Amino acid sequence: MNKRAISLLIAAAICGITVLSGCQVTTSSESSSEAPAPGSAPAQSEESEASEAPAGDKIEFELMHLMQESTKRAGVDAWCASVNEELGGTVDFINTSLTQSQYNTTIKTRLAAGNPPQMIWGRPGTYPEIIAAGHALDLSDWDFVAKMSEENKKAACDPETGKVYSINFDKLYFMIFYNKDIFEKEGLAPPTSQEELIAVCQHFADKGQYAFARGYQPPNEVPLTEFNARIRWQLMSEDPTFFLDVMAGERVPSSSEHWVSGWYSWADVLRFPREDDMGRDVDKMYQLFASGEYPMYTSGTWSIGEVKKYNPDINMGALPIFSREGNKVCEQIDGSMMVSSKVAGTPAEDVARKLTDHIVSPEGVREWIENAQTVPATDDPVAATMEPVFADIATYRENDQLVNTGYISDFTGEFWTRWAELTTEFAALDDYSDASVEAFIQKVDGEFAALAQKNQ
Amino acid sequence: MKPRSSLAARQRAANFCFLAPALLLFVIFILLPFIQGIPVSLTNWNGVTVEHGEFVGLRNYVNIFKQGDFNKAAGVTLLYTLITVTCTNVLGLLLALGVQRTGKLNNFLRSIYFMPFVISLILAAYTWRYLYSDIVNIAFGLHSPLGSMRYALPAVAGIAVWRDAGYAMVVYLAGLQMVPRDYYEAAEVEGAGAPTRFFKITLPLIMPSVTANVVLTLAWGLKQFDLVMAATGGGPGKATETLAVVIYKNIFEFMHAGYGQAAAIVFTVFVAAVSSAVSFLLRRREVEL
Repeated sequence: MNKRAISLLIAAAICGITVLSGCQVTTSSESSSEAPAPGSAPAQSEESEASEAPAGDKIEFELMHLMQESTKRAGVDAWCASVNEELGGTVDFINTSLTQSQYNTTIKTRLAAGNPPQMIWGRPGTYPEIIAAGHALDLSDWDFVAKMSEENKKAACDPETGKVYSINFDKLYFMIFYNKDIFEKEGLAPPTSQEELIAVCQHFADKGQYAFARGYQPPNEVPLTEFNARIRWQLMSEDPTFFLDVMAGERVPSSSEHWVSGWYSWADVLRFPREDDMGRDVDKMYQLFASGEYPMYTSGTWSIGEVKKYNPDINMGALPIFSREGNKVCEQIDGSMMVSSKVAGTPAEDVARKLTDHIVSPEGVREWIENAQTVPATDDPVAATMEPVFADIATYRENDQLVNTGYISDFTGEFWTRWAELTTEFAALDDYSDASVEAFIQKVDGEFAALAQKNQ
Repeated sequence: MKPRSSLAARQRAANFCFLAPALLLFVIFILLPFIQGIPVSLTNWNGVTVEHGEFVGLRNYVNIFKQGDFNKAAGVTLLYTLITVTCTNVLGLLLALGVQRTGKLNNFLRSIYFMPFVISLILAAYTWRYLYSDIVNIAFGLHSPLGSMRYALPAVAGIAVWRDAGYAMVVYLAGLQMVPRDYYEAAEVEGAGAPTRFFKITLPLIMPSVTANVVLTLAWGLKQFDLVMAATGGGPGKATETLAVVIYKNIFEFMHAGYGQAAAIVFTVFVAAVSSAVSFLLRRREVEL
């Protein structure tokens, strides 16, 4: 056989392999790409996955979420291990954590392909489009719902239909975390107001030290957290439709005095000498604070486990993220997951029911506290004793300083992304004079007005 | 002796068979999705619902040029491309001129200069994020440029230049080795200095290499996505947000699949037009040996 013939055969083989690799063997359960009406279970096709998995086959169950912290992933792993033990080892749990942008891309691709994970991160307030498209299962009659507090259930409900679509297992608090040993050594009392915080910052600046460890390197949402925490509790109580109104183009952001005050409050702290905040990522921020060389850092309670990972013995406390308007602490549901509508009527639904029951059980709550080291959504009184920072939070609750901001409808989609970008731009400013801040506020108004027009 | 037409036909058939795999991949993964995307670009589909949205005609295309984000991203992309094309080619040519003589040291240096190109763009981005924030900051006391609104784009472009200059060097080396030595000898006899020999002999005769490198780096620059996403995510703010990143965000993050698809089509046409124009202009300057 001459060389040309051999070459032609190889070329033909490559063509054939290419064509065949693009062909997908369709399983019966994937044959239908029709999504059901919101809240209803999908119709079962004739050859749907057997209601019982073939003997010897494990049930694949994937949880896809945004919990990148290793401590939180450990918490999820602990739940899965307990449930798997209860089910006799018949489940193959897959714990997938992604960044925000990866998640948006991946979940849409998986939903479009008809192959979503069995449980997906989110709740009705954060992913309304997934609910509206019928990709999330109505959980209203599931056993775990009866064990949820009214407050928790409210955050799990679709406000339009009142149906429960998520299980909420985690709370977050936006806080300034401080090193108690450094404060004691410097003879400083923990600040209780914006003015006292500025005085603390000035104290460290006078000594040539940096008051805050920061990690603002994009892409991350630490700058957004810092600004959001300064305005959220006021908007929740006095202007709950603020974000919706701005997205609808009915007002500009600066029409809210709280929004304006938030920028100035943050600028008060950013004015002090800073390091390479924009060049450090959030993990570096945790490391620097854990090293014991920095007095404070700003984040949420999801970060406690990450700091303790680097220094389990660090003596840290929590302060409100102060603003010129007050010293309240924002509290809201953080960890929440929905169940894919694809699991209805399959073995995976039984697994999902077992898992959700376990999450709200006392054992599940303990596993979460021990591994994730964050505050569970069930307000377990034991939690306060397991982590000193939780005791500080309990004190703020007793002093009526906690404001539940979980029900306010946030910016979504492009508005949220642009908001995060603008807070990063603000953090990168060279000048925090009043004139500069005012100019930035006007720029933000223009940006959101243009976005509102684009989305109409 | 076989008739010429039969031989020619067999030759064409053989050529087609060799092209077929690449052509098939191009049709399946590039051309067909492009064509399928055209009707999507005429709707307001959000990318999640099963129904592909309502027909909105050319509104998405009009909005592309009315909205600021696409125009700003176009400016960022063009500036990024200008920096990378210029610096990659100048540096690549300088490296090639420096190592064009054969020898153990030059052979070793060629490998060193080419090594960054072996690294994926994602890995290069993460490596340089660390270098900028930890090494540059500690060694020189400078803030990481990736966090600066002013310097983030040149810093990202610098990563691309570091990675691609070695590739450009290889292409220029091939071109330099095709230039006959006789021309240089004759020029030396005539008293031409090094700059004159470079601009009058070397540069005109390596124009095919220049064309290849410029068109390639131009396309890479205009389509830049993964390096920017890994290094800065398009930030800080929108300082490094290229057109590809804007399209990605509109389709996958903002639930504007119809708008994003329209932007992708406009972007494809733009890249094809610019690449073709540059290639045409450069080919006219090539000198036949």
